[in-house]
Amino acid sequence: MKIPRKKWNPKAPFPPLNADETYIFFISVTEKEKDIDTFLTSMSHGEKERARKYRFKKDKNRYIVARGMLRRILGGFLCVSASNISFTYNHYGRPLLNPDIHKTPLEFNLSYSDDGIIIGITFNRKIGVDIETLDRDVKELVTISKNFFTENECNNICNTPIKEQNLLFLKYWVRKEAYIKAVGKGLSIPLHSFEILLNAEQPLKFLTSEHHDPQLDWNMIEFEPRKGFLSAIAFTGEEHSISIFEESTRLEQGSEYCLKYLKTCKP
Amino acid sequence: MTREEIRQAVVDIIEELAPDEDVSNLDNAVRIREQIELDSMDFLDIIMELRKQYSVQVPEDDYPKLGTLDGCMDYLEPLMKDK
Repeated sequence: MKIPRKKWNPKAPFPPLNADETYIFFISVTEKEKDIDTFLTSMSHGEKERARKYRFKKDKNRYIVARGMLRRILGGFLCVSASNISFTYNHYGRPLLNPDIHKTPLEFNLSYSDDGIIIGITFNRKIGVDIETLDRDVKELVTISKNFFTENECNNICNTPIKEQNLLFLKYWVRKEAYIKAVGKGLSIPLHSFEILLNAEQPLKFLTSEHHDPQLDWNMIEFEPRKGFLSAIAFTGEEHSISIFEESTRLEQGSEYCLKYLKTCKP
Repeated sequence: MTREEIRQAVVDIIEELAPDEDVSNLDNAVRIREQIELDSMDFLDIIMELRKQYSVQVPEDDYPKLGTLDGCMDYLEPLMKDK
């Protein structure tokens, strides 16, 4: 399939997000650090407090860029200013649009790792995203797999040549994270209660009925949003298209976003 | 172990996992992940080390209770009092 490319000016209205679409944005922290003062003005008192508590500038900046861009993007789709976006949090700490303020079926999820941030936006379906740096050297990955993954997942990792184990572990990890984030309960869902099927039509299977809703139809896609990063998106629902946007280098001069590629998912 | 010893044990594990992070003077009442950069994989490492070093089993449902150092001390105190 040929991948179409598009550009638009973010000062103009955001491109329409239809009910059958999901947009994923990749953001580089270092490329947006110059906008930190602007991002701070859009943040709530609670977010500024949280930013203040980080001990290292790199952690603080990543948080501010992630929150600032999330507000900017959500504001763009909801046609409100970034500072008027109101968040609430579920029992597990997952941020959600405040339903008392925003009457919208828009759903989102955010993840960051090192210099990379991804934000997924969609309508009327559960969505979870995760990103990891591909050079993350997972210490004791076999022990983690034995303790927290399913027996099959663990065996697959252990039976893989050692130099390929790290990548295989990360492939399982980003998918598992994307799924538990989409459900919204984080690590309270035991990672061994569902199995990731890497090369099957069905993306996962539940090994226990607890924690999972068997009525929901789940799909997952793994992708590299930028060289050096591995991501996965987990979502419910019917056939729809997924677009991954990355700011083009020309954004700094011409304020343009670039549609990196378009992938149609047909569950 | 006393509460303070439990606190130090958790901080020692975090320091081992994230040697680049400054773990001195962590605020007991503020979520650990809001003070230093720890992700889910790091959190599982902490759970694994508690199991390995102190034979403490923490079920998944109780993970949210370990979000702060106060929470860690409250939760682990009865489990580690004889350690």
